[in-house]
Amino acid sequence: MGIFDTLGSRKKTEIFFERDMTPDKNRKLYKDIDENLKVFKEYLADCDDLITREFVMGNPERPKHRLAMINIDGLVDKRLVQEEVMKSLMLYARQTPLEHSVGDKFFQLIKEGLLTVAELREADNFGELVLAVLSGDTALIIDKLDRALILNTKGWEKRGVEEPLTEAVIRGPREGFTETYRVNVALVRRRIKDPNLKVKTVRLGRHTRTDVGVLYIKGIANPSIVEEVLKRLNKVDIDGVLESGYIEQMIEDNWVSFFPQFRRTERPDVAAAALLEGNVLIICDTTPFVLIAPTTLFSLFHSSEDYYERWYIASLIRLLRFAAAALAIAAPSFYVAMVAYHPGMLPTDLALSIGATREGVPFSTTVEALIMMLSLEVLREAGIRLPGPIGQTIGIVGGLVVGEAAVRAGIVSPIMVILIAINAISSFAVPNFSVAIGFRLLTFIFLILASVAGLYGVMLGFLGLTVHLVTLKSFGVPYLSPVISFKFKRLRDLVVRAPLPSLKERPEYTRPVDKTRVRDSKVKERGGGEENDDG
Amino acid sequence: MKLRKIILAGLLSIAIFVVSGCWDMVDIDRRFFVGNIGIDKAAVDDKLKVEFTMPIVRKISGEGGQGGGGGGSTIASVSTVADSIHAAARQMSHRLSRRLFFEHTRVILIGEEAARDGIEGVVNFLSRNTEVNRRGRIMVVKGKAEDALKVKNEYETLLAMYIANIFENWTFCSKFIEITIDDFMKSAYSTQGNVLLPRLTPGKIDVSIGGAAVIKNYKLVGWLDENETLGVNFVLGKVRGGDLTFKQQGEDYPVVMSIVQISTKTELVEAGTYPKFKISPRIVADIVETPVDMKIDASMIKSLEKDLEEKVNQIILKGVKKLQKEFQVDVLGFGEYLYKYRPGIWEYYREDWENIFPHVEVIVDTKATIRGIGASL
Repeated sequence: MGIFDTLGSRKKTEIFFERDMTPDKNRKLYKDIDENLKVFKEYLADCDDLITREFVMGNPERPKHRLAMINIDGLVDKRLVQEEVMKSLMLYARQTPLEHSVGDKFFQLIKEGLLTVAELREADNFGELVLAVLSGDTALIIDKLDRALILNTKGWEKRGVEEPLTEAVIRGPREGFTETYRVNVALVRRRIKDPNLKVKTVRLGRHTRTDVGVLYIKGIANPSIVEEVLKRLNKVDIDGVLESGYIEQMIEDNWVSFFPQFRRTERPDVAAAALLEGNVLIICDTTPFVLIAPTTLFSLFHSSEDYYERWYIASLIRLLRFAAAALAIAAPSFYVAMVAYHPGMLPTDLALSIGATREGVPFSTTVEALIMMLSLEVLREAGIRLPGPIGQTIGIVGGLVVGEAAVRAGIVSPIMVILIAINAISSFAVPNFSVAIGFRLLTFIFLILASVAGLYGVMLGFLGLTVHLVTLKSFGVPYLSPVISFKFKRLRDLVVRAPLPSLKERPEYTRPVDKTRVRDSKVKERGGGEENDDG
Repeated sequence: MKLRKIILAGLLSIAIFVVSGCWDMVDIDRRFFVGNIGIDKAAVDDKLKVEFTMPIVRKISGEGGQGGGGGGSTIASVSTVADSIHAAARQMSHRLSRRLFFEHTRVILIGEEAARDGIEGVVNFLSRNTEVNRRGRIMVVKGKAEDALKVKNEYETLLAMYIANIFENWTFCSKFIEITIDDFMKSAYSTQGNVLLPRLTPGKIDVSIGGAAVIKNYKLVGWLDENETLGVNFVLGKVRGGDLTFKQQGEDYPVVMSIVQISTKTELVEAGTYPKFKISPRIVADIVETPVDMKIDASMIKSLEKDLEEKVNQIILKGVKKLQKEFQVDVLGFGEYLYKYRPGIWEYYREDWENIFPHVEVIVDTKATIRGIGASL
């Protein structure tokens, strides 16, 4: 019975389901410290990680001022609390005569003269205080006052800034976002020292109350897109947001699509570049993955390195990526269509050698392709889940089993192994993993289409895909822009990348307020000066 | 409304499968790729003896040691007697485990006797059949087609590839007719069966393609030898390269020239009772071989150019004369030229063109330039 009693304690305190804690914000503090502490303990009943510390200021033998400090174990920096709060108030404060300061005067003294923590603010209601405490701040409540102080003492175990795992580059910064919201915002701010870089924070999740920040550069980002992002974010009413993927799926335009409608990145330089192109960032606490909106199909194919390397090589690599994407979607389906329906379209020698390798394989080409593709997916999945060293073993064993042994056993033909390998490698040549996974799915669909209708099926698939892509939008921006409204100028930074000085304008799809990227510099005049010297 | 649209789109998509008849999934290892079709006259009745050869893919797979695949031939050959080619292919389904598949048919060989009887049936088969590879080659065999199919060539794995690839040499050998099945059918239709086909002479281990079979009204009427074919090729503008050999006076060793550039113009110069055509080839040639002691200077080059022009004129006239006098068949495109460029004059000749053609006057005016003389002086 006892257990049920404690669980039933909610009848005294309202359980807050609103993410901004509105009802609790109306619950004002009492003047009596004991009363306040009691309410606090009701709120945080059965929370064993709660720390409450009561102490007095001034002469401990004739205590005049009682205070209490509340925080959560593990979320606060203990050293900070001890050095800057407790010591300041209990030891150093004795040098200050306190006898005559009461009420507001005393509050002012503590706030402005005694506490040596860097960030603090006032609060007069329980909602704000409880939320602050749960976020890692320390609440300081003072006797005979219906106001309290919230001290920023956040400090929990966190991962440092490390090199991102999913977006490795050869040239470029090695920093990656972390799981801490403020660190992530700071990483972006460090790159853009502009008062126009705006950060707007909303809390999402009725239980998690996750900080979600919307970042944009005022004067570049189109206000209508920023507004739309904020509007959609505010509409989200979900119990918890644990990763930016939750947000992505809650506010995306089309949840049927295989294509991600946000770009996600772990790299602050990519995020900063996106801001400069007029995009909006959505940074979510507790995850290093930052969302970029709006997104087009082509921007998913671009990598930050494209802009760091010289433009020839960048253009070539981009072209390769698009070729790889075509292979990733269509290689197995084309093969099946050719081999099972239209062998006449193959060169004679190739047709014969494919025929020779197929000799003795008991399955149809489609089944053969499905076997290989499915086993590859299983290997990929297993490789991710298993810890590093075993993962490698799986790779080797899987490679041997699937590649060599399956061919030896006559279950699949060698050409199929080559094909599926190329297909899989191609799909991961696309820099964005979400797109790559989408492509893997499409490959299966195209394969089925090819196996029921040959090239007609593949073409039908491409037709459907095109129709879908043309209608898809990300925050009002067509997914296929800029090709959807064709202008030759816009192709400079699309499939190839023109030299940086010639990219005078920001990409058009974000509809930036200020379009200019590169201004005509005075670099060219330098050459003229030298000529004058000669003359 | 929207639902109706979706249903309509779905139905239309399904219709693609049904209407296009694209439902014939046959895996690549369930087909026999017919490489050659040989057509001969059967010993009995008016029937045809049709022979198909196809590679046994299991035996030609590149597995090195297993290449022989039990020692047997890599090529299977089946023949049957039937009324038509299609009927023969269908008869095969009683005897073969896999479907005959013609999209990789590279070579169609017509035996001499069958060709003399008429090739209309072949043309008809090719034009009705949607599978046959239009870039394949068709030729007439001197002798029997089945003899050509017995050739055990050592050069290529497949006989069909061997024969078909010989035609790739047309850029430096112009002594055969370079024609694909597609070209053949186009010209057969537009001229009512007056065409030149390449001639194939089978040997024991190889074949030789050279010369031409003259087809008149879908029937073989005779042969052109290799030099005559070269002459005809000049008129047709089909010469891309090739060597011309002639002897200088008092020399043992010939001078050999290689054509590097050529353009031929045919024009009508006079339209009397019989039209008069002027053929003017413009040739640029390299000297590739000369007698050892020959001094090549400007005057020698001039004289060699003269000799070359003379030689080309001769070759062309010889070929044209033979077609005019012996076969009386216009496969030189004179009629076509008139029809296309001088329709008024063509009206005048059209009715009786078959009789006019043998009397057409042809003048040849070759202009030759020697460009390269090699490294030594």
